[in-house]
Amino acid sequence: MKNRYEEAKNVFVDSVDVDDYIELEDSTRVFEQLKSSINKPLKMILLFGIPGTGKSILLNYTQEKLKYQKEIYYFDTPALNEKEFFYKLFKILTKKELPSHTSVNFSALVDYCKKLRDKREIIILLDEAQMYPDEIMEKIRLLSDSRTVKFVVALHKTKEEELIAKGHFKTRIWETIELKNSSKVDQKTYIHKKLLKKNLFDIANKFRDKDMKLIYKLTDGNYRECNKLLYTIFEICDYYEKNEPNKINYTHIPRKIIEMSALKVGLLDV
Amino acid sequence: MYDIQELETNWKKYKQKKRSPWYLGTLSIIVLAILINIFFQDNQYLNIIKNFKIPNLINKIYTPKNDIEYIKEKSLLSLEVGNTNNSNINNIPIEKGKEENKVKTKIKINISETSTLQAYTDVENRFKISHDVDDALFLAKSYYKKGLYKKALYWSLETNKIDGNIENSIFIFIKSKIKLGNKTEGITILNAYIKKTSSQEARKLLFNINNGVI
Repeated sequence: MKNRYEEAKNVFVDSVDVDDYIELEDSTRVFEQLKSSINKPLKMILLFGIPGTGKSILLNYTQEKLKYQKEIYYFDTPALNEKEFFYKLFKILTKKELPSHTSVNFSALVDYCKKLRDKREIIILLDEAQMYPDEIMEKIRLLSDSRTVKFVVALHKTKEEELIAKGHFKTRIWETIELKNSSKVDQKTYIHKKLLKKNLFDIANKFRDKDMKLIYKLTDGNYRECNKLLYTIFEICDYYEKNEPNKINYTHIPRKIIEMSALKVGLLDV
Repeated sequence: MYDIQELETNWKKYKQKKRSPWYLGTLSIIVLAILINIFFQDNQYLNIIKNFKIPNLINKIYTPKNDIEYIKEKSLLSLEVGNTNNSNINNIPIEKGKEENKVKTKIKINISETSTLQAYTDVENRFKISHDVDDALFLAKSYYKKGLYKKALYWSLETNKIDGNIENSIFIFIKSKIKLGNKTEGITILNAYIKKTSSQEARKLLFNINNGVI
């Protein structure tokens, strides 16, 4: 059993690595929906959901799955400024580096895109799109009109961001996909699959049904909260195992440790 | 993991906070149960007190302070029996058991002392329902004493109809016959009775009649 908790802890480090993607009933359905939308002649697709519902990893997974079938690019972090964003876009469209001390002429870029229509279909997955300034979003809208570049825009679901989506893309977004927190069953499968992927069967079996219910109650099925909570649970278990082994139960994860972890990550208040 | 001690402390606080509503709830239920229990016990005490208070009060009211008062009270009641209907007697708020005893006593005192005939009428009415031999004999004796010999004759016959072996009833019948002027008939009946029973009392009566005492 030694060091198993440390291994388990690392399983739940929050990442958008495709290797960490867990196929669940709901996530598979959403991926199929996104794939189907990408195949349609749409200008823009809006992917939205509250933080921690798996938007980023889904975009990553989509790129990984479709990269041999389509010209697909993933913009993980928003560009700091317009110049940087168009530099990246220029590179994708022209497949050339922008000469130094030069800048992109947006009108020329749009014309260039128009010329590429029916020759290439470029899909750009824009993560954290709510962080893009309005000017860039407006230019993204104009670029999507060329029908050469298709944008999949991932937004956090808040009232304000929904308004942005309506304002900028009302006439262009033809499909919206909403990501939601996992169901109780899906979250249980998620935790098990994550651990089993790393051959941590014994640890996975330490979670009783009532522990899973408690974790679901605490995290409301949110993947990010679940990762944070599980990481902390194993961190505490790891500490006890190494320093106070009398406080650890080897048959199951004590409720006390789950609650302590929830307190630490802020899911419970004192 | 350097903050484990603090985390454990926080967890203890959290558990206390989480349990406090349960503790409060349990405590409230216990307090409520105790209050309900006390309430019902009080009610039981009240019932017991009520049950005891009433008879004590009656005893207080009707317990005679001394024998003279008691006799006076009895006499008063007897007089009322003599002058009023039975329904009035029932209205007197006295304990049931005592009431029955008092009524019996009252009637006897009443008949022997009262000068009115109302009491005899009451007994006659009662006899019509009860056919009590004591009532009939009582009326025969009483009427004879009063000099109402026809009535005494009638009630001695009524007594005899119920029980033919009451000597007093036969003597009143004979004496009434004699008082009504049928001395020969009376003596004949008495001789027949002496022959049948060899009663010493009957012989004495015959002696008295013959000597003109009756």
